Amino acid sequence: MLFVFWIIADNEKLKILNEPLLPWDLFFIKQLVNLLPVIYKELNILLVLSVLVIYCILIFVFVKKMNGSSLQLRSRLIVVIVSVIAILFIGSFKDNFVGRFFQQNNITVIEWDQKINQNTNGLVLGFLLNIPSVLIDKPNNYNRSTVEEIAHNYTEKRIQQNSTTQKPNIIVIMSEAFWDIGNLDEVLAQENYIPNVQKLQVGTVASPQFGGGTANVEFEVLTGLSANLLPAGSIAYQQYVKRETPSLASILSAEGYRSIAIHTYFKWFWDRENVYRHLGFDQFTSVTEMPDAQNKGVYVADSEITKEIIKEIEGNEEPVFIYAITMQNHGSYYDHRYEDATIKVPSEYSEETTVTLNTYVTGLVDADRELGSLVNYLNTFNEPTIIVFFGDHLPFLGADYKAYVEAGYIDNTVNWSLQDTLKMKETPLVMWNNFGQDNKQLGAISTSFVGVEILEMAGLQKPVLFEFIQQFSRELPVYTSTVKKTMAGKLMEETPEQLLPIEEQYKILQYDILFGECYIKSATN
Amino acid sequence: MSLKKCLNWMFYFTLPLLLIVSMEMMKKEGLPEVFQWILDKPSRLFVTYIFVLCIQSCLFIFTKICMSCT
Repeated sequence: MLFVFWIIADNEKLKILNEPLLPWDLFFIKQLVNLLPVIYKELNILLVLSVLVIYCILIFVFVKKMNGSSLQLRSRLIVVIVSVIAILFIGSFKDNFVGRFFQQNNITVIEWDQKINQNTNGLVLGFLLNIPSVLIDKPNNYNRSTVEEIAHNYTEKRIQQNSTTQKPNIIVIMSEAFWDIGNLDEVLAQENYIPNVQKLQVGTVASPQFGGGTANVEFEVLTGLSANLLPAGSIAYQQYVKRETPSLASILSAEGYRSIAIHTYFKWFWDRENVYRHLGFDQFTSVTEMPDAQNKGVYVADSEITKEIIKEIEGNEEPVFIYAITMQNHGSYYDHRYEDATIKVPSEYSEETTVTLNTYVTGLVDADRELGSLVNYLNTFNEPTIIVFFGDHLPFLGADYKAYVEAGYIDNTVNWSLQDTLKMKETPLVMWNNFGQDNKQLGAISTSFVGVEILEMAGLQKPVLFEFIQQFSRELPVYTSTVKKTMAGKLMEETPEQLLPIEEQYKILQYDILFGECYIKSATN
Repeated sequence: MSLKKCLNWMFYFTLPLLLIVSMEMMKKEGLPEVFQWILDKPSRLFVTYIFVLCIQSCLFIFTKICMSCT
């Protein structure tokens, strides 16, 4: 009967939220109770009643049959112990032989679309594969007074700032898989495929992802929180952003901005429709709202995003915060998606890699050209405007890092040095403005710290959380799960001991915002 | 072992399989799709079967203990 209820809950959730039942839903029972009046209208009462009636009949039959006992107490105990151990092993598969079994049989969770995950892996296994992402430990010192203490320290620093009088438009372009292909080899470097980015680049961002998982990059940029403090392999958008969460969008909306998300793909992808609402966006323009958008190759052309950005900054009287996510250069690249328009790279690689690079570079050149045209437009635009442009992660250029290995960019596919690990995370970062403010060189920073730099360039008062994040970024400008970098440029895998207290504070604040009681809200009011 | 007992055990070990197939049938379009899903990767069914069997064992015995207490 447990499984029957599972199916009902799953069906109802699919109907209401277009997402199957997932392990972390069990933590939202409180919200479910609050939502019952709404859900009640959507429930199939007949189905629920039928299940309850069948359940009662089965219980009755079961009681009748239970008069005779077939197993001794000792045998029952053994069965229970063995079963519980097996359930625990399966449930915590990450670090045991069950995990290895999954790996050998290529059984993986499809995080980016849980409906497909359920369809591919089945209802039960689809659910089980998500379990490791659920277990979020509450930090030891998490309580109201600790959060208030942290907030108090950074509130004092915050008061010293002054907000600028004229608020600039802020345009953030997260360009799909944008990376300086010149890093791959000398020949490609000489081709200078991305002149605009090279001219305006102020540093690099260290992405938490490689080849995909864009949602986690977005999560870091918009919230300032860190995917490193979440379970490995988890997707913050799908799993943890389930309620109102402070972000650049909500902060800037409170400052009088109109916050707009633009993505030339579907709203359901990475659950953005719901997540953007939680993050406080005023508007979300997806491909559905752009019926006349032209494709280039398989996806909507980057030039359509430029048009949409210009339309929004011209059409709004209040300053705008635009978070634009491009799609044109989305992998995989081993197709001939641009036909005759494809750029032919001069380097010599295997045929598969050459086709991949040709397709990738064609998209890359388009993305760079669009940045250039937006900068040209804004140079003559009469409102102060900031452009932030970066790649969300390095591109997937063939299985087992094929192109990277062929080019000798990395030595092998495993056991990377810390330098190689960082190299496989860094994409170019552009921060530019049309009101003459110096574009300070930032070096390598984690995507979690991009938001702080945006608020800094805009001259806006930072909320306490971002004051804290700025302080943290001054200690560890690169903070990812596999590599960290100090201000002095030292690379390391683990957080150095002297920075563990501030890392603990980061954990506490992140826990408070995503899972806890949100004490930070009352502490800063 | 009597035939009745044998059938009981067979039912006990077949029940998880029936449950998995019926659950998947509710999600997929029909029985052929469920069989296709099983044939695509039998290892998925294997892990699911073990998991459901274990849950079933615990629930059966737990209910039995509760019954004998009352």
